Amino acid sequence: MSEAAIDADAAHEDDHGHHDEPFLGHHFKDHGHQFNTGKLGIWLFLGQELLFFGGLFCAYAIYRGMHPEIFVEGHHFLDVNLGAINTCVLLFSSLTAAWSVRMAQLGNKKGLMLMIAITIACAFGFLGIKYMEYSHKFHEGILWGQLFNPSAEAMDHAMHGVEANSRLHIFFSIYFVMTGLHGIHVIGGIIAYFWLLKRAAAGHFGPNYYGPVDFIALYWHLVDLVWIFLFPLLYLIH
Amino acid sequence: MADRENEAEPHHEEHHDHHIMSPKVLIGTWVGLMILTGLTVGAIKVDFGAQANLVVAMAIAAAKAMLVCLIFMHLWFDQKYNVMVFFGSIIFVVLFISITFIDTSRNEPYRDAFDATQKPTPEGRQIVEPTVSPVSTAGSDAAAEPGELDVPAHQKPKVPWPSQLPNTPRVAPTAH
Repeated sequence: MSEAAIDADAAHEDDHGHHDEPFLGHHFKDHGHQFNTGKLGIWLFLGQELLFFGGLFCAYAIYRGMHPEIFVEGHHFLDVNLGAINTCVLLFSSLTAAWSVRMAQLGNKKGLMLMIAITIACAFGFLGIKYMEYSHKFHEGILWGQLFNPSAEAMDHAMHGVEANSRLHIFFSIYFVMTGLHGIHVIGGIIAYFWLLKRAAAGHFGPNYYGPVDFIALYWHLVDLVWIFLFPLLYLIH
Repeated sequence: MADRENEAEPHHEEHHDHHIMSPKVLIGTWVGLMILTGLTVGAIKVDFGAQANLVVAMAIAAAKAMLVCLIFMHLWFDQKYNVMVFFGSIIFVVLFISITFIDTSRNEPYRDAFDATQKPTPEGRQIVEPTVSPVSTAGSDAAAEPGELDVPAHQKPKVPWPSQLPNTPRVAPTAH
């Protein structure tokens, strides 16, 4: 065997791995290929998430069509201001999430970490306001389904002496399941963003490789999207 | 020999969008979203009518959704296949909700008839005997007709299910 043939064999490795690229899967042609594949993957997941929440929106739509008066009554128990603040918090976190992608694309590690940190902070802010809303409701006995047992003050404050519909507990079943599931998605996003922050700190991301930043931002935008519809449907009924 | 031919080929990087969003576009979109949020909250002060209120609220929400999808989620600049996946699932959600709506509007008369036999009380619902039974009670203690289940008379529904009627009426959905 000549030296040249041995060199050629060594240069073209058996496993076809990209040994100089730590974050490029061996089965991908190049970073572009990996990015496009990952992007399709996250969009398929988001399609599933739409249908996931779609089932709950369907329950909302049908029940509201059947008993609109319950929804008008139910929303009096909700605080529009807190809901609006939560909307603004999530919209701002969407901005910082989109900006984090830009930072990664420009190879700005400090900017990337800052944007991720702000997004996480906004997410915690959202959860904090949600906690305030929920704890107030639990305290007043405003719960879901069979557990619905509002205190007299709460009823008076919301209904102003008008007798409430006998099916009001079902509104709160829908309210708690939809906002609760959304809250669980926010928590999932926080976990994902902490993971991303760790990787960003280790300097994994740059103009050639920023897929995870982009994909987690897409997930976060979907969480924001769901809230954009939840807010008027639950809090702004009139 | 084959290895050398592969190495000699130029390496084409697969095209993926390196499109970088400018700060102007990002902040502009966010400002637009905040304005629309203000509009959403402000719209509750105006009463367009029960149906139209919902339509207005959903229209504003859809506008916000478009801004988030097309710009923040980058769909405007993205490969069309991803757009198809997303809007495809939206189509299925719309299908899901509309078919369910059609179904519930069709069985509304039967639900109303059942509700008429129920009297809501604070302790819970109690079935109240209707003063006039829509189903003839004569011979209800007799042996069950062939093909019928042997159900005690007090457990037979007082309101006839569609299957009990000689011709299940096709009721046009009433306009509400």
